[in-house]
Amino acid sequence: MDVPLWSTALFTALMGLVATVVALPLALGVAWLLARHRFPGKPLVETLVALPLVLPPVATGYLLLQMLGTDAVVGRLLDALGIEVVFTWKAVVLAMVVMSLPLLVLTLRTGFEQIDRRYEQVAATLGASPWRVWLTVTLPLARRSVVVAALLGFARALGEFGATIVVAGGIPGQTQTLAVAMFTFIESGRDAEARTLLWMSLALAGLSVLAAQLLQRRGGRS
Amino acid sequence: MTRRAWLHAFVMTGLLAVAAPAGAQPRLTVSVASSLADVMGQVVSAWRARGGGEVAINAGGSNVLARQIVQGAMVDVFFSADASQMRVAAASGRLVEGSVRVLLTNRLVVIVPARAAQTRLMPADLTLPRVRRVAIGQPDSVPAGVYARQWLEAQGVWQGVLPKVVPALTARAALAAVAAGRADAGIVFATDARTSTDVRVAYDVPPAETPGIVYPVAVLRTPRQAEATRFVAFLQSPEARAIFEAAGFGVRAD
Repeated sequence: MDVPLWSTALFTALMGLVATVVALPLALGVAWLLARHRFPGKPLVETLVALPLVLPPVATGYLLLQMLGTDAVVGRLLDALGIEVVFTWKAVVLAMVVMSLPLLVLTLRTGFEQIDRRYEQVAATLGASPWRVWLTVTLPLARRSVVVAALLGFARALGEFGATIVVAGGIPGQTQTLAVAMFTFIESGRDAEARTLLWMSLALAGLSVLAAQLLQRRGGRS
Repeated sequence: MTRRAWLHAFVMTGLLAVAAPAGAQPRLTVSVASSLADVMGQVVSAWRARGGGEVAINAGGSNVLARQIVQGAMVDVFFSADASQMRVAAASGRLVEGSVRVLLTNRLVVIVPARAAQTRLMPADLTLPRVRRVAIGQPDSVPAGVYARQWLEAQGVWQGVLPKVVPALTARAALAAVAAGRADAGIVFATDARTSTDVRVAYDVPPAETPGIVYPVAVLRTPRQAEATRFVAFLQSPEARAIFEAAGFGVRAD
């Protein structure tokens, strides 16, 4: 049942990467909508996005498990499509995406709000389509917050525990992430392994947050 | 919501969290295994109705509770789901000599989702290809999982089941996986299985096939020791026994 520790760390980093790649476009869209648009139900969207930040992660995981159950609408739809999520690596990614989304959206929204809108207006008066304005003016101006958001989201995804354990199950070699493996080792009194994983987590998460901090500082000066 | 409103919400939540505990002043703190949490709530209500003092229930995995006691947590009574964790707590020297007593017993059951086609699952069936995932408590640390592993080992099917095991943090989490239909089978305590209408018992593990699943209780040496001893005596009263039996526990008559 034992899996090499480095492969657990590698698996977790890989899942975190996939989760960030999946979450980023989603977060960009939502953050931009929230930063630039008024629409009915906006407070509802804001609440929904922020919810995983304040809800106990285990509750989020339980909610996801219920939604993906064989009796639930979403679960049955996925069954019909032949897509298996619960207790597979996809569930690991799902938990990571849901739990890091609030962090991504909040960071990106702030980034969008700090952009001087006159640049966008100028581009528009010069005949650029809204999509082109977004791609060639808005996004480049917000690039720093995009990178910072991605790094923070990645770091958050790495540490995801509560939702992962419920919806992905912590199967060694299949869905077990760093955090879940560490908890399991602590629980069964295998302190040496737990400590090794602790150092790996510190290195992975520390580096991402440090990179985000450095980028943010550079952003402040320019 | 503006960012200032967000800040407000966060600060208010923080203030509420700090203010809340000040109102309650529990007399006894009772650490109980997760599988006892529901039933102990009822027992405490009965104890209060009989004029007993306030009781705060601290529910968790027995291994976690034992470690809290070793590390000096202010606990008056420890009600463990397994004898080895009681020994861990006893090694701390904080238990009242001779107060350890086995009160309850439990059984393992194999459960399947309520809408599953098969209604019977023998131990050997768990190795069949149609059973793709088996949810049990983490088999090295969670008592229900340790019992399940020991039983499957004794049945000679552990190696066949191992690749399908979804290890859960608690027996209740294993139950949730089966209830959602995403594990084809699970092995949990009989008392846990009774709490969900989304699962069905597919096999009753004969008590003789598992190591004794017992729940020992002990009183800790604290200034509230006399009250704690009275509470533990109440746990053995006919009234408390009836509540435990209704929840599916076996009651040790001694």
